[in-house]
Amino acid sequence: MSAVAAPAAGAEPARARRRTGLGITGWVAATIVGLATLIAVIGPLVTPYDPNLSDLVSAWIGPGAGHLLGLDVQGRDVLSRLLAGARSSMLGPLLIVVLCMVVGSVLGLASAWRGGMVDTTVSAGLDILFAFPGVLLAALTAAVFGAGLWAAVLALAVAYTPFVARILRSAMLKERHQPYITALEVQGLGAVTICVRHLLPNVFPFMVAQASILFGYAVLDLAVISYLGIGVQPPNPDWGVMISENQSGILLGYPLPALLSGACIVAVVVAMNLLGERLLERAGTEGRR
Amino acid sequence: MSELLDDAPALEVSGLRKTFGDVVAVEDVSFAVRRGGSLGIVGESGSGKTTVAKMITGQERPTAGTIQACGRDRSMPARGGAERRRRGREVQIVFQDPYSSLDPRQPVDRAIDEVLRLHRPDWSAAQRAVRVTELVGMVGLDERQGSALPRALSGGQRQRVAIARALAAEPDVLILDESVAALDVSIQAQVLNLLIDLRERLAITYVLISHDLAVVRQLTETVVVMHRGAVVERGRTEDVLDAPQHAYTRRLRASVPTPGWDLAEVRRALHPAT
Amino acid sequence: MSEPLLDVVGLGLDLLVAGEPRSVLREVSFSVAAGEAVGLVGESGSGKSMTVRAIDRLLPAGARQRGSIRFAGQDVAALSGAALRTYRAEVAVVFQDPRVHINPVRRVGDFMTEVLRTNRGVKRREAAQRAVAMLAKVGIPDGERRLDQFPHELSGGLLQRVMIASALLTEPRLLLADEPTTALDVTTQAEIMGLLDELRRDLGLSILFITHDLDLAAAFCDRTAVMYAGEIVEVRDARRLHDDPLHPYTAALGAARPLLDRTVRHLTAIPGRPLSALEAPPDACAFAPRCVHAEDACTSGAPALVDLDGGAVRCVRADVLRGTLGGVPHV
Repeated sequence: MSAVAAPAAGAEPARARRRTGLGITGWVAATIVGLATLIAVIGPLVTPYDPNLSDLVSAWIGPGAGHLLGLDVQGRDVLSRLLAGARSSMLGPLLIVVLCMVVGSVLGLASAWRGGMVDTTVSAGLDILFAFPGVLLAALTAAVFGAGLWAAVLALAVAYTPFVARILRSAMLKERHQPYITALEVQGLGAVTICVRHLLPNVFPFMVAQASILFGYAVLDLAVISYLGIGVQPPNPDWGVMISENQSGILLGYPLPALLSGACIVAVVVAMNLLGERLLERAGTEGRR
Repeated sequence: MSELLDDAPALEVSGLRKTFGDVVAVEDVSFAVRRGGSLGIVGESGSGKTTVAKMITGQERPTAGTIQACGRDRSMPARGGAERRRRGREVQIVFQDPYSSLDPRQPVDRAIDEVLRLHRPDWSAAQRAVRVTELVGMVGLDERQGSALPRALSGGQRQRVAIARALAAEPDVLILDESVAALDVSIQAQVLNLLIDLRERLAITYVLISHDLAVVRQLTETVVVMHRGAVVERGRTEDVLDAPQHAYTRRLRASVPTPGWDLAEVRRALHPAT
Repeated sequence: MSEPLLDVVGLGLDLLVAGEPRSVLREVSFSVAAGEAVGLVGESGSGKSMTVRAIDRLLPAGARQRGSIRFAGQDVAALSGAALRTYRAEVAVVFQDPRVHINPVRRVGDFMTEVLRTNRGVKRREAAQRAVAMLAKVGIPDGERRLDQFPHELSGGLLQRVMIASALLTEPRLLLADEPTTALDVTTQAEIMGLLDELRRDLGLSILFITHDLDLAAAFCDRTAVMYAGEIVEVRDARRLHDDPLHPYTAALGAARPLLDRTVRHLTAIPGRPLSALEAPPDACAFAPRCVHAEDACTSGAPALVDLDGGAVRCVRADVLRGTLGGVPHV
C-alpha cells in the first residue's frame, strides 16, 4: 500500500464546513486584547496617582497602603505607571502595524498584479531592506532623528514592511490568478476597481490575521528598543521603559515592578499571536468553496 | 455591433504563435468562426488550446499573428477603459471550475449587476434589476438562487451563474473553456441543453475548448484539432469525427471508451512488438 | 461458484457531520470474484469513494460502520497489526491524481521501493531490480533511468503507470482503482485502461474500478454496480446493464451523455441535481423526485435490492419497466 488517505477527491457530501468560531483560546485572547486596548484609551485618565510623581523615600515599597501594586525605583505608583504606559505601549505597535500593512499591501499588490519587471524590482528592493534588523534600524533612526517613540515606530515599520509585503504578495498572487478575477478583467473592469472591490476584500481576513500577529511582535520589539534607551525616553511611562528602570530591583530582591510590566507585555504578545492564529485558520476556511 | 463590420467573421485568428522562453506553445494557428456559428477547439493537455483561449481573451499576448473579433483587432493590449469595455462586449468566457469562477463574497445578483453597471452606465438601478432577473431566469435559476452567495449553490448552479454573468455584457462571442468538463453527467446534460437553447435564442457565437469529443459534437458545427501547439485537422465537426483524416485525430477518436471497445487493440498499440 | 475474493454485505456508514452521526452509505452489498473486474459507477456524493475507503480501512475519525467486508474469507474490520499490513499488501489502491499521492521531493525509485524495503526487508539492490521489472511490465522500458527521476519530470500518464507498478510490487490480489484515469487525457486513459486489462489477464488480478463514466465501466468491467445517494441501485453484467438497464437512474445516466456519432436536438437531462447520501430520505426511493417513472409507491417505502434478470435492482417498478428503459444507443 503506497498511498495515504487523501481529501475526498470526488467531493463527497460532507464538505467539511467548519464553524467559524474562535474557540475558547481565541476568545480569551480577544478579551485580553480588548482589555489592553481599553486601558490604552482610558488608562491615563484613571490613574490613581500622577504616574510621574516620585518620592524617593518610598522607593521599592511593596503593595498596600493605597498603592495596590506598590511603588517603583523612584517611589512612583506602579499601577498608575502601568495604566499610563499602556498608551505608548499599545499605540506605538498600532501605528507600526498600520504603516507597514498599508505600505506592504501596496507593494505586495503591485508585485502580484503586474508581475514581471515590477515584481522583480520590488522584490529586489525588499531583499535589501531584509538585511537590516529592526533594532539596528531603530538605533540608526535614533541617531539621525533623536531617540523617542516616533523614531522607533518609523524604524520598526520600515523593518517590518518587507515581511508584510512578501507574505501579502503570495496571498494576493494566489487570489489574482483565480478565474473570478480573470473573468472580471475579461469583462473590461479596471485593475484598481477589481483590486479594491474583489481582490482586497477576499484577502482582508488574512491581512487582519497577519496584522494581529505582527502587533504582538511590535509590542515586544518596541519594548526592547525602549529598554535599550533609544525608544520612549524616561521618565515617560512605558512598559519597556519600566522594565529597564526597575531591573536593578530584580537583584535587590524587589522584582515586582519589572515583572509586572514584563507580564503586561507578554500577555499582549501571546494574546495577539493566539488571536492571529485563530483568525488565520478562520480566513483559511471561511468563504472558500 | 457595428453595421459596417457585419460581414466580418465573429472571430478570426491568423498565424497565431506563442512562445514561453524557448518553448513553443502555439504555432501558426488560424481559424475563423462565422457570426452565430460554433467552433470546437479539440486537444489534450499541452496541445495549446488553452493558450489560444487566453490570447483571444487578452490574458496572454501573442508572440506573432493577429486576432480579430467582429473585424476589430485585439492582438495588442487594450488602450484605456473604453476599449477594454468594448472588448468585453465582444468576447466573454466561461471557465471550467465552477468553484473558483465566482467571487465568494458577492451574491449572484450583485455580480451580474456589477457587469451591467460597467457596460450600461446609462441604465437606472431599476432597469438593471429587471435585466438581472431576466438573466437569472434565462439560465434557469430561481429568485432565491439569484440572490444567494456562491457557496449556497451547487457546481451546476454556479456554472449557470457564470454563464449569466458572461451574457450580461451581450457579447458576440462566448468562449467555453472546458465549461462543462467538471460537472456531473446529469448536470452536464442540463448545462449543454441550456447552451444550445441560448445560442438559438441569442444568435451568439460559441468557441468551445474541450477534450471531450462527444460534447464537441453536440455543441459545435466546425472543429479544429490541435496537437502539440499546431492545428492538425479542421473541418465540419461531423466530418472530422466520423471520418478523421489525421493519425492523431483517429487516435483521439479511438480512445473514447465505448462498450465493445477493443482493449486488445489498445494493448497492441501499447506494445507493438508483441 | 467459490467464495468471492471481496465480499461486501450490508455495508452502512455513519460519519460525524458537525458533531452528529449522518448516514453516507446504506445497505451496500456487492462482491468481486478472483480475476473479475467490477465497476462502481456514480456521480459526486453517491458514496463510491467512501465505499473504497471503507474497504481500504481509510475512514475518517468518528466513522461508524455497519455490515461486513470480507476479503478472502477474513473480516476486514477485525484485522490489525501484521494481518492488516498483509491485507494492505494484498489490496492495492490507485488514486485519481497521481501527483498528490507521491512525495514530490523524493525520487521515483525511493517511492517505489520504500514499502518493499521497510515492510519486507528486501535489499535495496533487489528492490530496485523488482521495480525496474515491474515498470517494464506496465510499459515503461527504461526503468533504471525512471527510478532516478523526480515525479515532476514525468507526465501524468507516466506517473500513473508508476503508481500502478508500485501498487503491484507487493503482489496484490485486488486492485482498488479510484477513478485512475479521470485526471488524464483521453488517449492516455485508453493506454492505462489497456494496461489494466492486460495486467488483469496476465496476473489474474481482481479489480474494483470506481468511475463516474458508465461507458468506461461498460467497456472495461465484467459487472457494474451503479450507486446513487449512498446506495447501490443496480448491479449486473456490465454490458447488459449498459444496453438494457433495469433501474431508471442507470437508464437516465446513460441517456444524459452526448453522443459521439450524432447530435441530438436536446439531451435527455435528468431534472434536479444528484442527491448526496446525506440528503437521502430514509423511507422512500432517493431517486424518485428526479425519476420520470415515479409513482406513489416509490415514495411510500424504501425499495429493497431484489434479484432480477441475473442481476439486482433497487426499484419497486423494475418488473414493470423491464425492457422499456432502453440503453445507451450504440456508437
